[in-house]
Amino acid sequence: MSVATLASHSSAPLSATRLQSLKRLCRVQADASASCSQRLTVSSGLPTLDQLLPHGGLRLGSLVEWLEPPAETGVEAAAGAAAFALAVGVRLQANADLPPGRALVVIDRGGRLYPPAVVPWLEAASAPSSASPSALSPLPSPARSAKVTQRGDRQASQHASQPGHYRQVTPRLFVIRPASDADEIWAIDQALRCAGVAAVVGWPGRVSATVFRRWQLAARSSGVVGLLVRPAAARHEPTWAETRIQVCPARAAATGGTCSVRSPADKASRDKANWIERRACTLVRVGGQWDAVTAVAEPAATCVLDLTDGSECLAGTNGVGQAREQARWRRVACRAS
Amino acid sequence: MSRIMTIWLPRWPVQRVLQQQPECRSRPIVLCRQNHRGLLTVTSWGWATPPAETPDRQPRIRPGMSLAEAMAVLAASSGPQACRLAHVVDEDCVGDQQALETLARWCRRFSPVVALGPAIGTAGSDSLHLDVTGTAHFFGGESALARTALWTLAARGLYARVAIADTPTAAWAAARYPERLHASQAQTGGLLTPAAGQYGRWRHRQQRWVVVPPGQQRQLLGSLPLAALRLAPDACETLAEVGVTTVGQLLRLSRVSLRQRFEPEVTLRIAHLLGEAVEPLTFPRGGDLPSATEAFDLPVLSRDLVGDAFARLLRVLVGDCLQPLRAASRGITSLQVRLDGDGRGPTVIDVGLFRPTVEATHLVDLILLRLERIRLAREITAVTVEVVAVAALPCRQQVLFAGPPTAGTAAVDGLLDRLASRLGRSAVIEPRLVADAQPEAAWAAVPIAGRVGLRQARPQAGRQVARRYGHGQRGAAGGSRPTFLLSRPQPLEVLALAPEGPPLRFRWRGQDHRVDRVRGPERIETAWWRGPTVRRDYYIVETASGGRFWLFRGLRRQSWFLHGTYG
Repeated sequence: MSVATLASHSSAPLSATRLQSLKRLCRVQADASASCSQRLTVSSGLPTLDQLLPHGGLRLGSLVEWLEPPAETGVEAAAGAAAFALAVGVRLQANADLPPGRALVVIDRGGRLYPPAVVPWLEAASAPSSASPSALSPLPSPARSAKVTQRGDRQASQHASQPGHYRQVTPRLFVIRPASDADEIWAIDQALRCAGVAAVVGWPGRVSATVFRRWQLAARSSGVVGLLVRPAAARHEPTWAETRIQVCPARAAATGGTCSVRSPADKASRDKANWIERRACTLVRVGGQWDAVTAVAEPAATCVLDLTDGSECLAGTNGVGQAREQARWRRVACRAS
Repeated sequence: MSRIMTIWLPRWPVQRVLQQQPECRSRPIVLCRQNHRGLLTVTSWGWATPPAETPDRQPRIRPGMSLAEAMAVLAASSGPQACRLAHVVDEDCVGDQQALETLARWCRRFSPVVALGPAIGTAGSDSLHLDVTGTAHFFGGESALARTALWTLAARGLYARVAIADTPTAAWAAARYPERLHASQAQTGGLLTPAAGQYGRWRHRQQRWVVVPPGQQRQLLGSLPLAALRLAPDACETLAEVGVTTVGQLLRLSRVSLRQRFEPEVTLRIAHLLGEAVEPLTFPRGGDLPSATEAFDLPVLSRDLVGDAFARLLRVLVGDCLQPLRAASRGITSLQVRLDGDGRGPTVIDVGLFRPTVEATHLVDLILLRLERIRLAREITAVTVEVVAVAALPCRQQVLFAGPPTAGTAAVDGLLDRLASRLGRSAVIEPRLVADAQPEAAWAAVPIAGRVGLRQARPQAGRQVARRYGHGQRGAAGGSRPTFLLSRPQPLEVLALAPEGPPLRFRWRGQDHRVDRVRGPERIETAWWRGPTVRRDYYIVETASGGRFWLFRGLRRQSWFLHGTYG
C-alpha cells in the first residue's frame, strides 16, 4: 500500500506530524531499495545455498537468520543451524573477492561455542590446497579486484577466474562472550558496525524489532554480513533480515553426497563409514523481510556440509569437478545479480 | 617511621611466559640460557598446574642444571609424558625487567612511590617495593591493603606474596620467607597477622601476606635464615661455620666485631634491616612516561563528572599525555585513570589496548565505556591520567599504486578495544588450539587486550628449542568434535543393550530420543596430571529426528553424560 492511497483513504485531514512521519517512511523505503540495488553480492561458499538465496548469493551488509527446528522435535540445539551459519561465516572470511585480512567475530552468549570444531575450517579455507574448492579461486589482480563482483561486470569476473596467485592470510577468529542480554545486543551492534569484520555469527534469544532494525542499519553502514541463529519460535516474528532460512536435519545417506577429499577407489566403503564427516540438512527459505507469515512458496534444497573443512559436498563430483562447479556457480551468481 | 610494602613475584620469568601464553598453564615451563659452547642451562622453571596426585614427588629442578639433566629429573618424578609436555623457552632478562617495570607503573594504584626490588644474582629483580607510609588507611588498614594487592594481582593471573614492614630489607625478607615466620608466630604470641588463603587458579599453593607491626622487625624476623639479608654466599658460609645461621643470632653479635671480621656489607645490611641506615630504592626507568593530573580546588560531586564536561577534561588530560609520545612516534598500549576520592583509595580505570595508539578520541571513548560500569566515590578531588606502557607505532609504508582495498585491521583493533573495555578483558578472546586429548582442555581462551600492560608475545629466539622439546600436534580432526560443548557434562538416562555397548535410546530435556546411527567408542583416558584421571568412552550419536549429539560413558562409574551437540 503506497503513501498516496493511504492519504486518499483517510477522511480526516492528515496532521502535519503524521504527514511528516509518512514522508520519512517513504524516504527510508526509497533509501533501502536504492542501497539494496547498489550493494555487492558475493557467493556464500555453499553452491546449494547460493541457489536458494534470492539474489544468487549473499548481499554485503545484510542479515541472514538461521532458524532452528521447532522445540517439539527436541533437537533444536543439535540440528546443524549454527554449523551452517559458522560455515558460511568461514567461507565469507576466506572469500577471495573481498579484501583480505578480515575477521570472523562470534558473539557467543552462554559460552557454548567449541572452537576446535571451527578452527580447522578456517585453516582449510585459508590454506591453498587442491582439496578445498574455495582456495582454488584465485586472487584477482589489484587493479580489477574492486570491480569483480560488480553487477554485470562479466569481463572482470572472467579475468578473475584465471589461475593466479593465492592469498595466504592467517585466519582471524574472535570469540566475544557477553554476560547479559544488553551486552550481547551491544556487542553484535558494534561488531556489525566495524568494516574490518567479514561476518558476525551470533545466537541471540529474543530480539525486539527496534534492536533488529538497529542491527540492520549497522550492517548496511559497514557491509558486514550478520548471521543470526534463532529459535524456531522467531519464525512468527517480524524480521529485518534479508533472508530467513529454516534448517532441518536430513539423512546424509539419502542424498548420496560425496566428500571432496576422496579417491574413487575406496569411495563406497568410506561413504558408509564416514557419515560423521558430513551433515545433511534441508534448507528452506521461509520468506524474508516482513513477509514471513504470508510467504506462499518456500523454496527448499538439501545441502550436505563437509564437517572436516566446512565446505559443501556436491553430489557425484570429485575435488576438481567440485571446484569447477563452484566457479560456475560464482559466475551464475554474478550474472544473476 | 616509614612503612614499606614488598610484592614478591616468585619465578617471575615463568609467570611472564604464562601471561603471554596462558595456554601453557598445564605444561611445565623451563627457561634456558645457552652458554658459548651451546650447552643449555636451566635458569628458572615452573609448572602452574602440576599433577595433583604426586605432591610429594615434585621434580627437584634447580637453576644451573643442564636442560638434559632437568628433563631426566622431570621424567623420573612425573613420567616421560611430562617431558614431552615441557615448554622450553630461552630466557629474556631484558624483557623480564621491562615487564616488571610496567607492572611497577601499574602498581601506582596502591602508592605513588613504587620502586624495583633488589636484583638477585644475574637474574635481575623479581620484587617491587611500595612506600605505603600513611596511605594504607585509604584501603582500610595495612592488612586490607596487603589483601587487596594480592587479590588485584591474582585477578590478573599473577601469583605474589606480600609483606609490609618498616624497611625495604625487612619487608623483602618477610615476603620471601613467610614460612619461617610462621614458626616464630607461636613464640611471639600472635603479634603477627599472617593469613593463608586460596586465590584464583593457583589453588594448589597458598597465597601469603604478612604485616610486621612497626618497630618489631628485630623480634619477629629473628628466625629467618641469613639468606633473607641477601648476604654474599661466602659470608653466609663463614658465619655458618661459627654457628650463626639465623638473623636473630647475627643481631646478637657485637656490631664492632662484625665490622672488623667481615665485609662492610654485613653491617650495612643489618642497619638496613633495622632502619638505622636509609636504603636507596631503585625506581623504574621510563620515568619519562607522561602523566597528567587535574586537581580540583574543591571536591566535585562524582555525579557531576559524568557527561560532556568530564569527556572534555579527559580529552585534555589524554592530549597532554599524548603530546610527547607523538613526537617520539610511540603509542599508548596501556593507560590508567585514577580518580582520587575523599577518605578512600583511588578508583582506578585500566585501559589496555590491542595495538598502540595515539588517538585521543579513541582512548577517551574507551575510558568512558569503562566508567559506565564503575561506582564512583561520592566526591572526587583529582583526576590523573597516567601512561603505563608504550610501544613503537607501526610504521606503514606509502604505496605508489593503489593496491587491492585491504580491510582496515585498525578498525578491528578499535572494535576489540571497545568490546574489551565494556565487556571485560576475559570476554574478548582468541581461541588457540592446544594439543590435549581431553575435550575441555583442547583449546585455550587467550584474552587479546590489556594483559597488565605487558607487551604482546614476541617471537622468541628459543622457538627452535621449543619445537624440539614441545610437541606440535593439533586438535582432533573436524567432524568428530561438536559445535557446542556444554560447560559441564549433563547426566543422561541412557538405554544400552550391552553394558559396554553403544547407546540405543536416551532421554534429554524431557524427550526420548531413539538412536539411529552411532559411531564409537572413542576412548579418552588422560589428564592424570590435572587431578583425577579422565576415563571416558565417547560416542557420536544421530537420533531418528536428525539431531546429532556427543555422549560419553564415564568408565569410573559406568554412567552416561551428554557433553556436546552438533548444533
